Amino acid sequence: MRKKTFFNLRVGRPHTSPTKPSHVPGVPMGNDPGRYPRTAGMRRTGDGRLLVNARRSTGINARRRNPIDPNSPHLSPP
Amino acid sequence: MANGVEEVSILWISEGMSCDGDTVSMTAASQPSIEEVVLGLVPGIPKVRLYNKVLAYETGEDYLQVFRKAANDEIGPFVLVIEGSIPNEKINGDGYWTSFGNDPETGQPITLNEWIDVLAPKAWAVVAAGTCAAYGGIHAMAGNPTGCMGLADYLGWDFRSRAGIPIVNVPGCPIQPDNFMETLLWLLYQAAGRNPMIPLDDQLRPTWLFGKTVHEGCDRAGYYEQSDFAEDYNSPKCQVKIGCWGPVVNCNVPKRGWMSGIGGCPNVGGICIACTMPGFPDRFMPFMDQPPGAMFSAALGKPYGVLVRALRGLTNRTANKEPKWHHNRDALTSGYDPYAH
Amino acid sequence: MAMASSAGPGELVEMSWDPVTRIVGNLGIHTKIDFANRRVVECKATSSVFRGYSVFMRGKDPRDAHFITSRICGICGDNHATCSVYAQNMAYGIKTPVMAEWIYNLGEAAEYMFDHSLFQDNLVFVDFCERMVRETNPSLWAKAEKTEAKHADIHGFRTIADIMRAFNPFTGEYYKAALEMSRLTREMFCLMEGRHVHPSTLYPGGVGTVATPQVFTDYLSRLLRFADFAKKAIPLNDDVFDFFYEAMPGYEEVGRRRILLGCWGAFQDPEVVDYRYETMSEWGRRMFVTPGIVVDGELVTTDLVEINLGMRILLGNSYYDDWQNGQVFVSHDPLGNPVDPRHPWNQTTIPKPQRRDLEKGPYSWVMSPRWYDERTGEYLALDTGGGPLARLWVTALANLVDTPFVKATGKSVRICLPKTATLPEMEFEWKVPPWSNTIERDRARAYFIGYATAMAFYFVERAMDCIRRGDVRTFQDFEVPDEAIGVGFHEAVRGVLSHHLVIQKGRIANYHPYPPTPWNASPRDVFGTPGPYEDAVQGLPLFEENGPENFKGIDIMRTVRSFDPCLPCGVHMFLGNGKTLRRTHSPLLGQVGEGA
Repeated sequence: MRKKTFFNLRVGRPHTSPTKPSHVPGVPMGNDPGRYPRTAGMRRTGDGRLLVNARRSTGINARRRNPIDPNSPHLSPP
Repeated sequence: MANGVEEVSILWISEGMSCDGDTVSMTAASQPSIEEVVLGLVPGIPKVRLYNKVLAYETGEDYLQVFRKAANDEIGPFVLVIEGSIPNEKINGDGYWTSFGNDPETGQPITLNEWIDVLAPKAWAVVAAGTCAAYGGIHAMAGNPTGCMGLADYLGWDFRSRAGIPIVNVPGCPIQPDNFMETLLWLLYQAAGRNPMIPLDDQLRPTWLFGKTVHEGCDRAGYYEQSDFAEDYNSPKCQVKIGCWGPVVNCNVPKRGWMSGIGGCPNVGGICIACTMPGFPDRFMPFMDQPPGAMFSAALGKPYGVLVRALRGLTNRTANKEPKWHHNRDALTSGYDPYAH
Repeated sequence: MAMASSAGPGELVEMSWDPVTRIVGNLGIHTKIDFANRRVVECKATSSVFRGYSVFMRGKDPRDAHFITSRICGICGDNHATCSVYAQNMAYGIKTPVMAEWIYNLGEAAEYMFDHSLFQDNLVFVDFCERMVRETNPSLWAKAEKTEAKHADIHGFRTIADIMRAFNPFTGEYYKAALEMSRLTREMFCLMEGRHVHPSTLYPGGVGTVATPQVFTDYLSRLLRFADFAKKAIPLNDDVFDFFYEAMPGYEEVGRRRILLGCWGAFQDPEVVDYRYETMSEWGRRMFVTPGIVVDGELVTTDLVEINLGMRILLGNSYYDDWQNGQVFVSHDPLGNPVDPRHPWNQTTIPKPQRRDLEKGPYSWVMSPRWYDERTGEYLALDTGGGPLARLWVTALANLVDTPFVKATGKSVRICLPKTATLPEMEFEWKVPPWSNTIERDRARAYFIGYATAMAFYFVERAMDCIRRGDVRTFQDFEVPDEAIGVGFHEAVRGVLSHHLVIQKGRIANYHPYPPTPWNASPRDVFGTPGPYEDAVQGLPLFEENGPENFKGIDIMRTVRSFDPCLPCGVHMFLGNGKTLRRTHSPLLGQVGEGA
């Protein structure tokens, strides 16, 4: 292994680089703003609020799992 | 069973390149708790003496005495627990990356590696607590200056203790509290002569703790099966498309929770970053990116998922209806017939 | 009192404690003690672990920063993760949704409740337990047996000796109860942030924790049980510390230093915070623990921008190369103010491991953070007093915090805890003390446990308000810019915490976290300014009744632990100029040295 000294440390031929574990452009990201419209059961309003309904937590008959009283908040399970 | 020992010391050195998180996590355990073990409340195990610097009564050289005596084989059987990444001390000339106490002759620090060289061959068993000690962990990521590694990389994967036990790796960043205490308890029963050799897989992890994947134990897996995914972190659904590595990670945290069934990782909304794995962290960064397999398997499952949701919707509707004979009319229509057979 | 029998006047005995136990991380204390005059004359502390976060984070994706930096500390990693998220929010130009901000606050409150209780009751109080007091101050023990505890009706221990018996490690009643409370509080933490110590549900832009009535009632149920314990803890702590002052007059001087305290603020107010640097002065002042700096008892600032611009990293006796001719990443802050080359944004870490030289240095892995006071031109060696002391002191003087549970008055902080299983509603008042010393650092810790508990009640109510409105949004999406800077200010359990971030080409170009311990235990810097430990330990009077033969250094250990040292960042300090040194038989080192 070729060795040299770099600020007091003996360094050999690298197996990797410091930037190797970083983002590859094109890979989908969880923080990507474009993902929002696709989330079932969640809808963004113009003023930045998030409206949710039962479809957020279940794919089985979600419409029937919404609260029957319009005054109740939409609270779906974790 | 082979005859066992009556007393065992636990010599815990957290002076690897460590955050001490595994020691702190150990104090969170309740199944059993560390005080239950130390006070002799668990039947069938040897008497335990714990030497861990975060909890120790003694300070300085008083505390170090037991380690110096162990180096001279003067204290009877001991379990050596190492916490923190093992540094590479060959690359830094006269300098040192870590140390634990000082050499009485020279006053210079004694490196962790020197302690391991002396104590590991004399230990009844050697345990690596946490991913750093097991596999190098966070401090070993690409670009690191210390060249650090896991204990098995340092001692050799074929290492056997005096009792013929391989290095026991309990990975986790930090260790799940009860995972560690259960492993310790197995070893204590083994020391007492009541347990056979601890079952370890090819990465030296206890098989009953790490033998299944996060996905196989996650309560959000039902969403995956129904092809119903979270597209962002506001969602209670399966998170494979937004960074979760669960399907390929060996860990039981979603199954047992973090403490007393509370908390965890993907089961409570935290993407699995594979912190128990030898490949952690490099193979899984950037953590919030979609893992490569997820797109493929999610797309593959979509037609099935949509269909099965529709079918389950039908059956769920029927299941949500009470039968016709539950009514308040003045005639019984439940099919009651005393002569039926 | 036993004296060093063979030490003449002016002769010093070398004593070392390495490793120091009952702290987190690696610390060694090397002292020279004048037994004739019962004083510590010289002290050096070294920490011997380097890991290199500021080196290996370069080139990585900024979104990974909070996951990685959490691993800096194994007891308060979530403080780092939170601070990193604050810095990233600023860099990405986003703010956390309101519901998520309450979740962060609830998680961090649980962390303070957990960590302060564990550290005080299971680590610090072993220095005050029956066994230790008998071995170091037998006459104090005799007094403790005869002294009634003033608040026995609240905490249930009749005498001070009864309390000290309950502190005995592993067998003491209070010690064991505290361990169980440490699990309860960590369950509360897990409800909000997933797992402890390295959270799973935190992300830049918010949390993945699902907001439902369940998670908050689970938290509240545990909070009620903990609050009952906290209400007993505060008077119990007061009884022990007041006893020390009464039974050992002059103990105020133990660990005393100039009042130079820094607090970077904690608990954001989601109605106000927008994470923009331009408005940081305003939202900083609205935090539920006020940021600020106290110099000689006077509050000199509560402005996070001013605090930021004054930070300087000096090299003293450390294993690093200087970066004076290195890259300047940030020449001006977003408001146009010039940024110094010695500011964390512009620092480059170049480690240079070498042999340790305790006499002439370098001998440690730590640098010297200082705060440049423009009014006087001094580079101030601020300390955090272990965390709670600075937080309470600044919040009290700033007179801004005003909630139904915690209220600042200008010279004190009032803490109100509601009715719980065994005790009615109670109000406590922490008053600004006359000294910054060992006892007051420890006392403040108990009061801050009450503060965090009280604020948690407030945060739960605010979180339930969101639930009632159906506002369950917990995450704000974002894109990572190619070029950006950010800074996060937070309070780690032990005190000030800042994360400075520079992004170039979409990757981390520079990242420098400054946790409390480098501040607290910084060494003498290039200007010769001593660090806080120096002030605290230099001239420390010894009350221990043992001579050099079986000296435990308990007053020194109590002082060191009062700062709640957490060394995964490293520490070192040097203080004083030695007098004539006489190496003598030191039982702690187990060797015989040469005679006089």
